[in-house]
Amino acid sequence: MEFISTDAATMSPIGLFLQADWVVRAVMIGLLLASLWTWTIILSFGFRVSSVKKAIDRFESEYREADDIDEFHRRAAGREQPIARVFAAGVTEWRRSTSGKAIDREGTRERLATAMGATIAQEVDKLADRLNFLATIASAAPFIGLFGTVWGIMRSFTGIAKEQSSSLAVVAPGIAEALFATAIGLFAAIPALIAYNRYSHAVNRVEARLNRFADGFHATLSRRLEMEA
Amino acid sequence: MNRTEGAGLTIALIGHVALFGILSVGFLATPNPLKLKPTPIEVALVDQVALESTSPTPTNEEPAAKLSPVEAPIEPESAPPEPAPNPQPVAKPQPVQPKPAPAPDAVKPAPKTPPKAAPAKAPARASTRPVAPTGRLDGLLNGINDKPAKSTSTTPPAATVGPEQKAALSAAIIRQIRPHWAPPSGADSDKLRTTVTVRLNEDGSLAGEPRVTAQTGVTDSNRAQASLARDRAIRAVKLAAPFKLPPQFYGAWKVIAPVLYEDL
Repeated sequence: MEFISTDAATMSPIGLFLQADWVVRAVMIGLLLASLWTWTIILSFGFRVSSVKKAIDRFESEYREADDIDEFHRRAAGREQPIARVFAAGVTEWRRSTSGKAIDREGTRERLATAMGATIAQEVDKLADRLNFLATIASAAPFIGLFGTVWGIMRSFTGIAKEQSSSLAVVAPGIAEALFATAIGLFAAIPALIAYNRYSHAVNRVEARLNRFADGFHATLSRRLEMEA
Repeated sequence: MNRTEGAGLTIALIGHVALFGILSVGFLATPNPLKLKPTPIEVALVDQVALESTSPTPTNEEPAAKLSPVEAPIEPESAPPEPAPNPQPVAKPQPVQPKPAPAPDAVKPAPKTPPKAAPAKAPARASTRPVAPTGRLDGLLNGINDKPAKSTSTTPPAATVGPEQKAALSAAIIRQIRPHWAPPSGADSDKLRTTVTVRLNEDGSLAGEPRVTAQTGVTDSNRAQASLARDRAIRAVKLAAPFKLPPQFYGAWKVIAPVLYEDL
């Protein structure tokens, strides 16, 4: 452990952590876990959004090339992708509505739109599930860090009162360790804030693309409904 | 938690451990901690302190102008006198003894003189003086007179103050001021050195208002404390009065100018 510097003169996080008292330590550990989870969400969300976008691109091109909707449905509806589920929901609703003898066209159109809209909303909800955690971290982590800092500085001042000395050597380590709490708070909050803004935008775009696809599919089904009649 | 979140967690964990590991091995350590250390104060240790003055060493009068007229041969130093030959002079007078027999009074001094001469010779030989005693006493009083010695020394006789007394006096002054000295504290406050000058009466009380005559070590960071240090220095000197100092050296502490600094 010799190569890990733990004295106050270095900016070693371990040194600062070991000098802090238990409240500041708890704040530091909490913020560190928050930062870890934030980055987990950022990375996994990045993977998921990119895979969803790729899937939408591929699905749309295949859909345009497909001649028969039923044949395409057999081939593609089982995929574990939001756009496939939206497509499957539309086809399912279509089959249910057209299986009877009398076909209510207006009712079928409404049901198709509702079914696909509900599926889109569900998929977007699933996708954006973790984003609220990013928002919470972005707004709360600086305050938690600030709490640790205030606590540590209070402790430094009581140290001054106890030692009857206001020299920098008495105060400085406590303030450094206290400020480290705010530093970790910002360290967790800044990526969370940036990622939240970017991923909210990404989710909105995915939702818009799903809506466009659903509208196009709805138009196709609606046309077929008139042809079949 | 699904597969992508597992991958994300792994990558995030590795990243955090790497970042804090790099920080912990002193990657961001203060580049030169030596610059942050305060420069030490120069201290002169005076090991000899005394409150009593030692008399100045006077130079003696000039040596006698005249030496013995006869120069004795320089005796070899390599031959120290043996104690054995000493009895010989005692033995010599023995043949003379029969001669003054009729006068017994004269006999007594006769044997005494030779032994006396012998011890007188012995230390003379032992010393490295080039001139041997000749037994003649003329010239012995040359250079000795009744007038007081004419000293070439410029040292004033008697109780003036030497460096040791000055050191002891300033130490005594500082010792009496220290309990009343409350220096301001803050950044760089240890660099402030405030000189307070005040005139004292013979009973040690203040003869005038103390004044700050010099203040050194003022930097940008302790400029706020400089005036506070001046006020407190004057206050400390006022509180310390009357000073208890040896009255025989009043000339040395008629005006005192102690230098006050943080770690007095």
